[in-house]
Amino acid sequence: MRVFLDTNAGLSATIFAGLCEALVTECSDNGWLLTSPRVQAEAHAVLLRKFPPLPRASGLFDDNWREAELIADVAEPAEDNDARLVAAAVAAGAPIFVTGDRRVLGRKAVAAMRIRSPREAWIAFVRAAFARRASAVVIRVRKRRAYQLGLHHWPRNHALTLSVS
Amino acid sequence: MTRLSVRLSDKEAQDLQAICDSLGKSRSEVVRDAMRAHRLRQALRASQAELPPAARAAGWLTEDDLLHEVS
Repeated sequence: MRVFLDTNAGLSATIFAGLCEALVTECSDNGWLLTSPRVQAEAHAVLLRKFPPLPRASGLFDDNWREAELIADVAEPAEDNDARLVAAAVAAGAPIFVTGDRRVLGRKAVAAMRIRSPREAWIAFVRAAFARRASAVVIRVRKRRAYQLGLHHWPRNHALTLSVS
Repeated sequence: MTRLSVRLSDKEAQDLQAICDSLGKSRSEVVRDAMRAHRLRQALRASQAELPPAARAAGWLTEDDLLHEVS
């Protein structure tokens, strides 16, 4: 599940402990974190404009993205930076685009990519993690049941319906 | 690639092996993952220690303030 974080979500993680920070660490730990040169340029511009006495701020931002996968920017549509970020994420095959921008969130999805707020993305991660753990339990129970039935090698595509509490 | 020797207690070595077994990864992979995770968290702590005063002065008190203002 590769995840592209919009500039606002990346900046939020850089400045505040919270949901966006949790998304960055979760995505980075799993090798899912995507960014682009345009996100970095936008973040640098915002930090310089908002924090003029802190020229080090851009470097601090960059330090948080050293492990992220850098995807290529796209040139179109030329007049809309947000749409170009979304198009770059789609071109890179990202399934999730995380943003706090209400205008971008209003698009909900572009091609196969879902556009989610940080909170919605976090809920999706928690559900996916729960589903992974649940299927691991099902596989362990099925293997144990197969052993009890004398099937020492679990046959592929063998369906046993077991309820797991 | 650099080869690095690290001294671990028996308990730490057992814990490392248990992590490797549960993740299906080699010791080298687990140590590299841990180092990347540690470096990222350190970088986040550094930026979150230095930037919030300037953010508050700029009117960003919470991450929602920032998320709504920056596109």
